[in-house]
Amino acid sequence: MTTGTVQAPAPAEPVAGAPQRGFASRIVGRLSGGAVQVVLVLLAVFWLLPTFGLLVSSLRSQQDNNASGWWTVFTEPAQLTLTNYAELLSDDTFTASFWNTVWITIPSTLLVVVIASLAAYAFAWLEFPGRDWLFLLVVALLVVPVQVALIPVAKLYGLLGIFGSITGVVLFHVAFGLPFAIFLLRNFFAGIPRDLLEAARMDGGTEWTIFRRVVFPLGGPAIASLGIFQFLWVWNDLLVALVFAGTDAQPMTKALQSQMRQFTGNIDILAPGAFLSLIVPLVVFFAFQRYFVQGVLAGSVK
Amino acid sequence: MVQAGGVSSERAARGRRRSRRSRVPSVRLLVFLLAPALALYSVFIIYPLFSSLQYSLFSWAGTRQLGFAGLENFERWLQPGLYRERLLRAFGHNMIFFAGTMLLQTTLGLAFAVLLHRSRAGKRFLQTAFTLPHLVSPIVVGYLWSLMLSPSFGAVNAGLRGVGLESLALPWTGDPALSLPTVIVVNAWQWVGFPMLLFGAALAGIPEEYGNAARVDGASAWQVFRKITFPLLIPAIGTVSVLTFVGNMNVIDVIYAMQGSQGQPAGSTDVLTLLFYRTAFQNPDPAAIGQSSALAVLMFVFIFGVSMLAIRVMRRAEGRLR
Repeated sequence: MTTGTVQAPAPAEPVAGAPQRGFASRIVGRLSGGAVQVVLVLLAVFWLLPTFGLLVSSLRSQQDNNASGWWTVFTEPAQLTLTNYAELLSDDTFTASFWNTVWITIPSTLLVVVIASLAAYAFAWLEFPGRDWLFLLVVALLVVPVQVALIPVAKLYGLLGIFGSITGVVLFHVAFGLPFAIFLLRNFFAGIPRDLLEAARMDGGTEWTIFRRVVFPLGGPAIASLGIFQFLWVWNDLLVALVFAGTDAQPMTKALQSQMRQFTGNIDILAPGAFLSLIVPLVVFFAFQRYFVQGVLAGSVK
Repeated sequence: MVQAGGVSSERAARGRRRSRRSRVPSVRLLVFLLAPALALYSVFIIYPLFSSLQYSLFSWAGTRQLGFAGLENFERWLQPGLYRERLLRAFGHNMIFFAGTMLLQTTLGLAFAVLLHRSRAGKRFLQTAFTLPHLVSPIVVGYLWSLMLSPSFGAVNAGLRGVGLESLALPWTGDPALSLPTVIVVNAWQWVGFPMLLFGAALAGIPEEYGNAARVDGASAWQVFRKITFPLLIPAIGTVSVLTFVGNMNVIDVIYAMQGSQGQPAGSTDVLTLLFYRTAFQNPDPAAIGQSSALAVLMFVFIFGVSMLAIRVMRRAEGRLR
């Protein structure tokens, strides 16, 4: 397994005065630069438009949504109202599903981060027999589809009496989050300079102090990326909730989905509900944006 | 000690990377570090894998396991009949879904990455705009695009009519010929940020001197892209392919939200995971557990096989590039 470092080839011979361009070509360059910018902004607007439309729809009454498109608010801003949100937030089923999502997502994320950090530390820094085989197994299980586990685990939960509960949903998410998490963190930990660990060992540090003082702080960015990804997966999951979460434990995605099935044009519930389910991920994203990009890149380094 | 022997032979093999003071960790430490992960792995991934295989080889009456059935459950899916038709149709849709997503996502992701690479202002904002759909739950993505594409008050058809393209204002999700391509576009809309970021990082890693040297030799911008930039992006394209494949084989939420659990209209958007979901959880047949387990095993074997093959091909391709 090659590590993440891109082997930068030796730079080519510096070319004497490489881009010696004339006045005309500089103008062309400037113009095409402007064109690039315009194209990009148009594309970005197009990419944001559906989500913006959802937001506007959520702020219009059911009658308005059934009578005209959301873009008519630009000419009639009086349509905008918070009634849908007020009603939704006083709906106990919905608020309960919001808190279920929170109580499913937080432990799932924390447990994955802690358990995967411990295992990744062992895989990256300790020598023990069978280590490489065990790690290979961890990586190979990345491709096991969730479907394979749904029925056996459902039966198991039935025996243990946790079918339908939040605990069951959490445990399933943690287990299926681990292969990617261990893979990501192990690769990151392996990149921490060995000297730092050796120095800590020389000073008589136990494995635990080394983990706490060296690996955890230096692995911070990778751990943060992992946390964001796991958070998003669990927060946005539908399938696992559909199978394992009972009505009392159902997260927002499942609540929204059962609303959609009734499909009687209930935009006044679905649009604000969908938008509220998006707000927490948005906050998390903007708080940790740096780590999100790093995570996308690190996760795909083979 | 046996362990010490194993370690020291390993030590000889990788002498360069190792330092003299590495210690053999105590068993207690190893258990502390690895036991939680391995326990969860065993209960939730390894045990179910064998369990599914076992279920698929037995006959069932509801949740009660009856006698050994041999390959009967598999034959159901693989011998001519309604089950095989459904399986092949869903499988075909998954393949089209994968091919379509790859084509769109890779082309757009590459285009965005190249444009962003040349962009001077507001790079961060633009990058954010394209990755924002990653945050949205696929079920919400399905819903908000159903709103966009609704025949009466959807923005898409209203926009097309507005610019005089009345004939293109089609029933995007209602016509069996259009529904699958529509779902593919929606899926690509959501995930294009991933190849974009990946290609962006790869582009940033290509030394400017390469392009400059080629330009001095009289190469056109297109030639520079095709002969220098593109080959250096191939590893990133390989990574995107494998991850997109695994993701697309398991696609369900976005289709469920837009087209229901039957993959409407007329099964034109039915995919394997939907078929599995219906067989396992919306199936009055008392043999449901055996049938759905057989389907899960078939899916696992296929995904596993293709992924291993792809990784092997990628390794070889990368080796050749170096």
